[in-house]
Amino acid sequence: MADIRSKIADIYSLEQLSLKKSWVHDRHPLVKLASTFLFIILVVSFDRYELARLAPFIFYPVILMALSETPWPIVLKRFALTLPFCLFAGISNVIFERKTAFILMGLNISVGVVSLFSIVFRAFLCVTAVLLLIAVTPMSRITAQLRRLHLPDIFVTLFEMLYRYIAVLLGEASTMYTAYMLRSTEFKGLQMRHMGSFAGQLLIRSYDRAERVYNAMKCRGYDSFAARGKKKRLSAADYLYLAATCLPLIALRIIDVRAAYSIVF
Amino acid sequence: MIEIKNISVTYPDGTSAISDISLAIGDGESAALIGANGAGKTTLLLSIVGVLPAERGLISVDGIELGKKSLSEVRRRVGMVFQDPDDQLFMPLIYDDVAFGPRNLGLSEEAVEKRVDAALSSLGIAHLRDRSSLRLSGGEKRIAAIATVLAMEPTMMIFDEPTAFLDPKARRNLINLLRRLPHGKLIATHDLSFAEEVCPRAILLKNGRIFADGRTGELIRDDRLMDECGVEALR
Repeated sequence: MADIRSKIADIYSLEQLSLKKSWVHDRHPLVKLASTFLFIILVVSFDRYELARLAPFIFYPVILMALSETPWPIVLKRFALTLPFCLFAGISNVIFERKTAFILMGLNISVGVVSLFSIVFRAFLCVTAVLLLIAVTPMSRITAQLRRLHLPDIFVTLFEMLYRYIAVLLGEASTMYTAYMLRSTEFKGLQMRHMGSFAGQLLIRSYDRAERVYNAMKCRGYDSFAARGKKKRLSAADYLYLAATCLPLIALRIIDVRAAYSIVF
Repeated sequence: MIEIKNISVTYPDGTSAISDISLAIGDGESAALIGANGAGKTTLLLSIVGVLPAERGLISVDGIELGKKSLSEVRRRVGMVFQDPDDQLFMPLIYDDVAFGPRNLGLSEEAVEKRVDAALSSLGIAHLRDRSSLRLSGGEKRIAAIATVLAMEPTMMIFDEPTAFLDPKARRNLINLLRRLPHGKLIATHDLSFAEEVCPRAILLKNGRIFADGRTGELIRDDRLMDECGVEALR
């Protein structure tokens, strides 16, 4: 039970970082959303074999992390959760694309391996960019900004609720699991034949709980329209942030940095 | 002031939850709502804040009649503290939970911060400001849940089983706290000694109707009356 509670706290620890004070934290959510969105678009726009051109994009998360004082381990730990999915997506390339791309220290590196690394690296960049956005912007401000950008209200509300109810769902599951285990001394873990009713009960209980949480939110004036918040003007520092992040990214996309590599090395 | 005139609430399956209830709670008055499980206590509280709409009757708060247009104003004036504080604390930090209501009122961040600090300080939990609710004790959670409502600066407060899950010390702290709060209060509870200490007036509910309304000390010691309501009298 305590373990689940600490796991729940762990989920929200990234968001707690968003309450820190730094130059990046103080920027308008719109510019942070825009630069993150542009970064992701540019990263995925590269061909899957263009690992060399992707490499300089690492500077975006590195500089942002340094400026916002976001601890590396928290971000890496969360990226590690997505790693199996990335490997699963790229492993078939290693099997089917065996043409040699280049030779490194006597080893033939196939096109498939380059593609696999490209997928993992790309995922790392995109996931890190999103995690950093959450780490430097409170979730309520991100969703308020999404509403101001006229994203369909239903999607933003669903996203908000899903994010908030992770803890509710885990809490209910852990309570039920503890009660189950206390009455099943001879068994280890949840038995297959009880899975169905356990999942069904969990769904009903979490739905019920979610409704109570939503009622508590409504009682304190929540309505999705008002959740847009007050419009805040962009400051000079916000424009500077936007220029300092977006212009180098666009330049890196347009200029073929491989030529620069050959000059440097 | 809360005024309720002849309200009835029926659940979607046709079950009548409360019927023909009329009562008034004055400014600064504290009243306990007592009744057996299923008597309609929570339903009545939820209908006052418009979460469960009454199909008949009229509810008004400080002269404002509850309706679609006045819903947000009524909810600003009547703060509801739910039975389970976990229902009310869903943000990463206590600060955010307390700020949730004021932010929904459209206040500036400076004004929100002032309200949060004032609410937390008045309840003596300013030190919990940057803590996560996941790490609080049951008593601390209960006080924090009250702070989330106080930050809305309501004129009336309604509580659903506020002493549930509390140990004796936390319960005592809560009693002292509620006695200090100057707001009008309607408190649904099974805890009769708590009701006697906090509320001079008690309203007994039975099967969704008001069965008795009077002085708490007298009602909760009336064996016959309490027995008819399905509640054990205080001895």
